[in-house]
Amino acid sequence: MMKTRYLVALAILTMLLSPGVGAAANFVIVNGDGPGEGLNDTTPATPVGGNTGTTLGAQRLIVLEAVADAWAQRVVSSVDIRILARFNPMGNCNVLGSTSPGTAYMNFPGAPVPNVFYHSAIADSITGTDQNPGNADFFITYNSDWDDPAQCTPPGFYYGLDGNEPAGAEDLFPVVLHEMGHGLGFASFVNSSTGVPYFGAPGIFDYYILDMTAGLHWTEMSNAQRAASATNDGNLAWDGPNVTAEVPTTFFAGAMDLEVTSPPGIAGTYGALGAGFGGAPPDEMSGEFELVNTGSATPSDACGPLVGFTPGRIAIMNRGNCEFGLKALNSENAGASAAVIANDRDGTVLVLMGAGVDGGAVTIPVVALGQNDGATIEAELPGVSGILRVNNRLGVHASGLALLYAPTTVAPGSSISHWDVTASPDLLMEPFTSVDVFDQLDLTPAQFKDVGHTVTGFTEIFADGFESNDTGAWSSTTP
Amino acid sequence: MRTTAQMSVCMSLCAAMILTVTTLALVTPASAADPLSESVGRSASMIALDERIAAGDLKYRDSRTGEVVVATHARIAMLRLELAPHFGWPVEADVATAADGTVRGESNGAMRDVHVARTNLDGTRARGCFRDLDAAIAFVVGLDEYQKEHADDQADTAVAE
Repeated sequence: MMKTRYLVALAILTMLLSPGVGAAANFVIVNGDGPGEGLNDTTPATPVGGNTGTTLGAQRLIVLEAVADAWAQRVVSSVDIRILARFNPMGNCNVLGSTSPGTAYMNFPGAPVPNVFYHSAIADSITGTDQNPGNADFFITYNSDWDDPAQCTPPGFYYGLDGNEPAGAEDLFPVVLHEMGHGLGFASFVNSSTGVPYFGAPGIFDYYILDMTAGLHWTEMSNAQRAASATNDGNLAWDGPNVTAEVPTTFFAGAMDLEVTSPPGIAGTYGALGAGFGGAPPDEMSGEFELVNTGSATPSDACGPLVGFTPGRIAIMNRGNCEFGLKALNSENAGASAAVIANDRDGTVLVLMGAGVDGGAVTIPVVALGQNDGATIEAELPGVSGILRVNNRLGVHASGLALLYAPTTVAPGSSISHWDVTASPDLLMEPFTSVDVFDQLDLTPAQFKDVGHTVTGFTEIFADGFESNDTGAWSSTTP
Repeated sequence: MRTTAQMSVCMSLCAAMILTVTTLALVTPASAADPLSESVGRSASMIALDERIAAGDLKYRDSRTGEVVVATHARIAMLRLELAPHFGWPVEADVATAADGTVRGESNGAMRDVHVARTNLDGTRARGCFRDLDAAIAFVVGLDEYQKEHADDQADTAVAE
């Protein structure tokens, strides 16, 4: 499957047009490997998936640089962000790689929040000076055994930049993208099992962890309280203002209401369900409903281009004959503000709708309605107006805050430093990587802003193709 | 900041220490804490895993050979030995305060977020990011998949008919 890679045109444009926005950070990949090994491995390699390297070491380095480039589009700093990178044999075929935060700083001049530790790159950015001159801000290490057929069964790592890894291969790009996210600031400084801060005080990440049951942030808790809080599944949230502002436009709806306000004869609230694709619906959107017409023998199935649809209205259509994603896409192409798909069976059952082939291109909200309710509303069309209202969002606490991953320990746990696995759509900084999430930064720049980074515009644009070093924002060096 | 040479020496020594302590931990009573893991005492992940090992019904793919094997205490012990050096190394952080009040903390390699992969029984692949050794082991042997197979609460997602 062809997967999208980041395209940064709008982000760059936003940066260029926005007065007062600083320069993109200069990421420096510090090659920590010795001659002939790791990033310097001279084993010949065939260029693959947009990676032009002709040796194994070169291809590895190009992937790291490409990921650094992706982050450089969003992170602004006048101080170089230095990442010490290595590929080492790790003696197993399970570990892909790891990130370690290196150095952290507290109560430095200009620190926005006292008595919490900041990741090195954030402290550097805030102060405008390198707190630890010439040294790495964080460390990343990857397992070179993956490329050794004597150790691990091929095909090993995939170094292409296009997401087209062969079956069984491990695409390195999304792994590095996630891990650099941790290194830049998406990480707690507390041992989530004991509640003990590693540096003796919590970090800025912990400052924004809010236990909804206790009503306390992790920085306000004892070690024992934090340890208990770490497994308060579904009740541990992030209350940073920038992430919270992004919640309505990021997370898909779960339960929804379709409230008919007119005509009076069918006025009332009908249960609905957000789809697992399309655009995140706003908390409320009102409008006039219009039954779709494709001009075909089954005109209300929206399986073909719509005929005579009034742009701006909420399209209502019936399930059947084609995928939900195609129905929604045809509606969007006709100018619909949202697509409501009524079930064609099972009375009151609401279907959790998946994207299928075309759903990834849909940007309008998509909503499922039961068969009976759909028939009631369609019988009154035209002339039905109402409101689509979100009752909850997937991965979001009822308070409107994004949830963090706090599994009960029976489930294989991860760390607190991830979004909850119930998030929909899937997010880069969830603990378990999805094939759908490997090249997007989604909510992470907002989280970076919460913890003190300066970041550029929040609008994401993704498209096919990789643009190497398009801002000159990365470089590599050997210590 | 340590130099590369210093770090290499430390890594070797600490890895040796980890292997020693981890080996001891394997025969330690269930209530004892493993200081090198974020898991305190006998984690629920390991208890759940022990139950499945005892039942003899937890199968996973060996990461080296790709063969489907049954989880046993011996295999889990070997897996622990392989993975342990990547978690919680070393334990202590260095903290110092400068004259201007800036407090500097050196993690010395702790707080690692470790990306782990496995091949599922159906041949598909899965990845997870962990700070907790026990959780990583449970993931590698597919304990979450086992639980999923035995749960009745999976949502049914449809794309078409």
